[in-house]
Order: sequence, then structure tokens, then C-alpha cells
Amino acid sequence: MAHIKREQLCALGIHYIMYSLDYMLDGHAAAGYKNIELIGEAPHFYMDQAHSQDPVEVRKKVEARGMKIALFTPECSCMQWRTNYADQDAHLRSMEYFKRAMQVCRQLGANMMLTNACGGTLDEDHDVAFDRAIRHFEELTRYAKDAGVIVALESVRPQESKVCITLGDVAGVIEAIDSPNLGAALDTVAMGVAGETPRQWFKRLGKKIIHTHFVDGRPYSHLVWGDGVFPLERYIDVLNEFGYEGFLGQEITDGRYYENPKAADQRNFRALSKFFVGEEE
Amino acid sequence: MSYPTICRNQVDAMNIHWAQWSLDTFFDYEASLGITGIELWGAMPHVWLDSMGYYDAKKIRKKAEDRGLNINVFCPENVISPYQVNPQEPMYVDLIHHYFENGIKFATEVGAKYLSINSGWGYWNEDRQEAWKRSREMLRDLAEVAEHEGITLTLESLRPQESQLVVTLEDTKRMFDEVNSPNFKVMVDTVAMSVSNESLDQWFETFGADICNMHFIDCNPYGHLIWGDGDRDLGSWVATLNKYHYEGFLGQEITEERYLLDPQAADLRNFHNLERYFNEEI
Repeated sequence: MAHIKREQLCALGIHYIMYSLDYMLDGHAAAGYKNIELIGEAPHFYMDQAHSQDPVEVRKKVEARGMKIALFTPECSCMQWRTNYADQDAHLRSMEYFKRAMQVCRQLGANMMLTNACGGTLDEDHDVAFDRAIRHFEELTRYAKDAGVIVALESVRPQESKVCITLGDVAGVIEAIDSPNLGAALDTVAMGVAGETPRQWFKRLGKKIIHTHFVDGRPYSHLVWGDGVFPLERYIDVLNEFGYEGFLGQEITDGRYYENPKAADQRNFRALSKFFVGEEE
Repeated sequence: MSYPTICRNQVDAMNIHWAQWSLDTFFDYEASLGITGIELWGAMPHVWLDSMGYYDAKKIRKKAEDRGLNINVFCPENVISPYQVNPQEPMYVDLIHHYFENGIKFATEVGAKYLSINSGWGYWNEDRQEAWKRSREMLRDLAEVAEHEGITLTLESLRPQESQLVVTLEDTKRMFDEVNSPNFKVMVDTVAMSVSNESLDQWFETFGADICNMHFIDCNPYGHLIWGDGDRDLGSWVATLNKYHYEGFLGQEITEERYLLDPQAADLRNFHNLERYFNEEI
């Protein structure tokens, strides 16, 4: 019987981009979430390579609503901070940003930071960009070790990056570095776009999968469960079969939810709550 | 018999849908098409602009000029958080002010005449008047910086999904009047205009020669599409440009994700559709 725990669900607030932090946190708490994945993106958490909002204050706001920050995901694909630039100066500025993000992560009470390998361009040779990703993630992993943080590397869609858009690339980076401070995050949309399945990910990476963005898709778009085409129960069965007990980040991003993100959270949470076990009667 | 026409040098290619390609590849391809003007979108991997500074302005200008391209307009990223004209939190207000100030300086260094800007959006859950005031103050401050740097800001309207501030022609007129600066003009975004169900004639009747730039693209009415992929009447719009003697730029602000993987193919099709109206032998 497919099952998950309420505490595994992590709210993400990308679809609250038109609303303030307080409004977003109220929405997550009202839907029933106990954990959130905080995105380092204004207006919910401003940061750049030299500045950041006060993490302690944000943490208090989250905890005052009976929730915890499970992990921190600094902006890493739309704006200028990316892990895999060829340009050395852009790389150095980005690394300052990610080092800062790791400190923020700790101050938020979390020890996991999620990112991806964006920054290469489509006019580059794959292997050149891939080898660079390995070097850059070696560097990031060193910083993570110093900061006491685990980095989760997700795959993204080909519209976002040259490399690490497939399981093969993500596993390649993780296996090459082989560190307890680096794991994989399974993003069901990137997985779907790449024509992969959750089973293939768990078979290849097993316990190295330390986080998921577990959302519906067609396979494109990060959707509320029920709005896409993914077989929810069947996917949860795979999580159960491989003993996955990590978080299920609800990374809802589609523009259709921007007007009323609270309603999207409610509907999404309800779709998942059917599979809850261990709830007090 | 005179046909509706535009000049080749009015057309500005943009690099938003080239976001997964290098700046060199973008410039090379536009030059090979016969494009002469660029509205440069200021985001990575092409331009690094932030609240503390910017990089490589002279190098970028030279890259363009070496290929016979002029950067006519600079469009700093200003529709994705954190880069909007209307931040609320004090720390964020200060940083954003510096960001746009740096954008204006970058624009002058690359030789641009105009900088595209919008009102920002504020929060959905706040009073519109309060948010409006913040936008107006920020735009006034930035118009002063622009005056000092010798460049002109051109205000575009947004879609109602993007903002509760400057969305319609009427909003644009109000903001234009309230900012009231010689270095603060107006631009038409044909998508926002179409979504608000306005006509190009109405914009010219309202603003006349204060329209200095355009995002002149196809749509249905949503989508920032290449010409041919939407359902707008290009010929009648070109006739309207001629009727009002518009000689400003026509920025090709193509943003749809569908073009990211093969922007060359998109720009080729787009260029051919615009070329049919060039005042050259075709």
C-alpha cells in the first residue's frame, strides 16, 4: 500500500512570488505542511553574493507557524548565480554566493542545500561542460564540508542547462566526487522530460538520493498533483519499494497558480494526504 | 503606390530566447542575418549586472561593433525577482536602486540610447496606491540618474498577470505624467497592448512623439512570439507606424520557452517575415 508521512512533504513558495513572505508561510501552514524548502529568491528571501536577508528572523517566522525549514535552495538557474560557468570571474562570484548560501542554510536551521549544474551554454561541447561541472562540484563539496552542509544536485530541463539534464550526468558527477557531502535530488519534471523513471533513478543512485522535487508534470511544467499526467500512486510505490524516507519537495512553479497560490497548496496537499500514514487519530 | 515599410535599422534583435547560448553565438548569428541593431537584455550568461556593479561593458560593445551591430537599447532584467522597480523591504529597496543605477551606467557604456523599464509589480496583497507611489518615486529617482548619464528611460506596460501597476495605456499615461522628466519616455509593448485590448493608433494618439521605442512582436494576444507564430496583422501595424511617422526601434522581445533550444531557426523565420516590409528592394 503506497504510503508517505506528512513530515516528508516540503512546501515550496515559488508560486507565491507575487505575495509577501508572511502570506506565503500562512498559506503553507494552513494547507497542513510541517516542513518547507525555502527558496533564496526575493521577495521571500533576498540574497546575492554580498548580501542576505536576516535568516534568524525568517526562521522564527517559520517556527512560529509550527513548521521547520528542511532545506535551503538558493536561486541557481534564472538569475546570474550558477554553478557551471565557463567564465572564471562569473564562476568566482557564483562561488561566493553559494558559500554564503551554505552559511544561510545553517542559520535557517537546515543542513541541506539544493542546486543544479546550470551555467554551461548549448554551443559548448558536452564533455567540456560536464568535466567542468565535476571540478566545480568538487569545489562546492569542499565548501559544504567546511560549512557542515550536504549539497543535493538535481537535474533540470534542456531549456535550462547544457549538462546534468539526465540521470547519467547527475550520477556521473556524484560518483566521480563520492563524498558524504554530495547527494542527488530527483526532480520528477526533469526526469519526465528526459524520458526517465523514478525506478531508474533509485536503481542507479539508491541511498545517494537525498531529496526529491516530487511534483506532477505533463511532463513539462511543475504542477499541482492532479493537473499533470504522472501516476502518483505508482510513483509513491517506487519510493516505498526503495525505502526512500526523505523529503518530497512540492515545487509548484506554473504561472497559473500565481493568482491564488493558497488554493494551489490546499489542493496539492489534499491529493497527497490520501497516502498519509502515522497520523494521530 | 506606396507600401507600408520599415527600415532595416529600426529592427533590434534581442537575446532573451538566446539565454542558453553564448553572447558571441548570438551576435554572430544576428550579423549573418543582416540585422544591424540590438536591444541587449542584461542577464547572464550574457551580461552580469547587480547592485554592486557590472562587468565587461566595453568588451561587449566592441564585440557588437566588430560585427557591424549597434546596441541601441539596453533592457536590464526587470521582470524576475529580485530585479523589479517596486521592492518593498528597506534593504531590498536600496539594493535595487543601485541595480538600476548600474544598469543606466552600463547602458551608456555600451552606447545605448534607451533603457527599457517597467513599473514593477508590488505585492498582490497590498494597497495599489502605496505600491504605485513606490514605483513613481523609484522611477523619478532613476530618471534623474538617466538625465545625469545622458540616456532616456522608456516605460513599457505589463500584462495584468505581471503587475497591478502600469498595465494599461491609461496607467502608462498617468505614470508618464507623474514622473514628468525629459529623460522619461514611453515604449509600446505590443503584447501588453494586445492583452489590454488597446490599439496602436490609441497609443500614438495619446503619446505621439513621446513613443521612443517598442517591443514590436507577434502574439495571440498572449505570448511574446516571433512574427508568424501569433495572429496579429503585421501589415496594418506597419501602416500605423508610417501613419504616425514612427522611426524608432522595433525590439524583437521574443521570450517563449519554445524558442530556447533553437533560437537561430526562430530568428531566421522572424527576420524573413519582417524583411517583407523593408524599404529596400525585395
